[in-house]
Amino acid sequence: MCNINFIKQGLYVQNLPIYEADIPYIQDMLHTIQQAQLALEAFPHLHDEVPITIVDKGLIR
Amino acid sequence: MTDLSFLTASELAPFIQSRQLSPVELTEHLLNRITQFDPTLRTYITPLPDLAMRQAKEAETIIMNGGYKGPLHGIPIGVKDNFYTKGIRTTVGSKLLANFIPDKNATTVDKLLNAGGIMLGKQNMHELAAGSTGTNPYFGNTLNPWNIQYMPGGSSSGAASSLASGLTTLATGTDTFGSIRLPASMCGIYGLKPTYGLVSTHGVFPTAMSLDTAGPMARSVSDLALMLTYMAGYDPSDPASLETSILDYGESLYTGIKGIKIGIPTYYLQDLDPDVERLFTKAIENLKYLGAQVRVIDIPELSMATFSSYATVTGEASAYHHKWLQTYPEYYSADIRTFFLTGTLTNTPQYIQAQQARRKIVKAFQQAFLEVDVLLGPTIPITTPAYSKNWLEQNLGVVKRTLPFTSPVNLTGTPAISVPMGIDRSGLPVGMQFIGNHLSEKQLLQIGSAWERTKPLGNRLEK
Repeated sequence: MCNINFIKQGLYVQNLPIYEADIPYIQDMLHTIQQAQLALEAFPHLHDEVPITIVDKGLIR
Repeated sequence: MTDLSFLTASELAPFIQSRQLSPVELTEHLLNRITQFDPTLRTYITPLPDLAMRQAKEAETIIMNGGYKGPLHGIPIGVKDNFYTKGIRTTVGSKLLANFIPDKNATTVDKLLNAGGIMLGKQNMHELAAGSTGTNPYFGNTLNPWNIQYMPGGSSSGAASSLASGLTTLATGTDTFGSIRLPASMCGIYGLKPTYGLVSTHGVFPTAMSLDTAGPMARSVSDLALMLTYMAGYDPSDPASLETSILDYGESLYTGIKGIKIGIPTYYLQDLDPDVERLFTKAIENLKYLGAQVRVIDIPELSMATFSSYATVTGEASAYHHKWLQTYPEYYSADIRTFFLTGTLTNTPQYIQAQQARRKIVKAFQQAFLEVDVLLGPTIPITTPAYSKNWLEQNLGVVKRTLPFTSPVNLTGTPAISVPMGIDRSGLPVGMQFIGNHLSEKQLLQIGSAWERTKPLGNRLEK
């Protein structure tokens, strides 16, 4: 996920710009997210939780 | 009467009501200060002197004819530039929207103007409300009036800096991962991030829709209460708006905090800058002296907040901006472009897990609120940094360091008030935040007010 090729290809297939100067910062942020995600391992029953999503009460009658 | 620059709305209102002070005189005074100081501080993107004077004259006429509307009537307000204003450009601090002129007001703007508020102008902000320092390469960096070498914090940078420098009486802010509380902390003012859905975000340009919250910023807790009373309320145009009764938020301000149970999560004691730790330790002692029962508690679920907030903010923001990122990438500043492009590279399972983690954190907070009335921590773990030449690296670094402290409140939709707690060794203010259960704003304001009376900054704001 933090691999430079993954970043460039991921942007390319989405038709998004690739600025070489941005890549190290994107890489660092993805690394931060990946490291932070490790905290979830302490909560093995996470899938028991219903994800919070925006529910428009006006649409559900 | 003392200098009008730093009086609060609560102090000014009786003079306006009794016709000892004209809204025209007050507005003129602040507009003159904006002319004098704003070329340096850059707290406004679009000052509105003509409109403000027109509104002030109208207010004066109505008040002179016995039509005083209430404590916001004739009070100058700065409006963050991500609130839609009809016929007035709303840039969201971005080159991308530099010429965007909405055809409607945000609901909150309508409410404040209908109460008689005077709109001084549209205020500077970190681009697209997605950064925490207050840099703005297109409209100019906002500076911290305590020391102009330092950042004011963002994204509501113009609001916080203008309040701290006497360039407005009140200001609106928005908070997606700390944008009200963080600049309030860095500029030594007060900021309230309300319960999600209490204040309408209809007509507020989105950053991350499931987290975006609008709220008041001011130089006193009583002013926060005053503004919230007018800003809160059900709005059918906002699908997330809560149908709840609006309280008199100023009612309990002088009740004190004897017996209030305050829990400090161990999470909020980690990795503090030495000055923050020193001031926070002193603040805890002062709260105990005021009669609060303070104890440390553990909320392990908070460890998921950093992942959950990064995945949510970058994911939702990049979804909104995807087309524009493809078409006009050069219109984004490098820090914001990097932030949003990262969101295009996270994946759906991560986003869903982030929302599951959010529910887990909400439940943990609710459990904690069975034992304590409020939670407390430093607003951010760092002292205010001076602006760096490498602003891109600094902006992303400040987000990385501060988001773990500010974002739990956004993830859980809970309210929080940031109050000044003291001055660091560089002479800049440092803040702390009280976090309450959903819709506990009245109690948070009560606690904030008791704290305010300890004069945590002395009288140093009035300089």
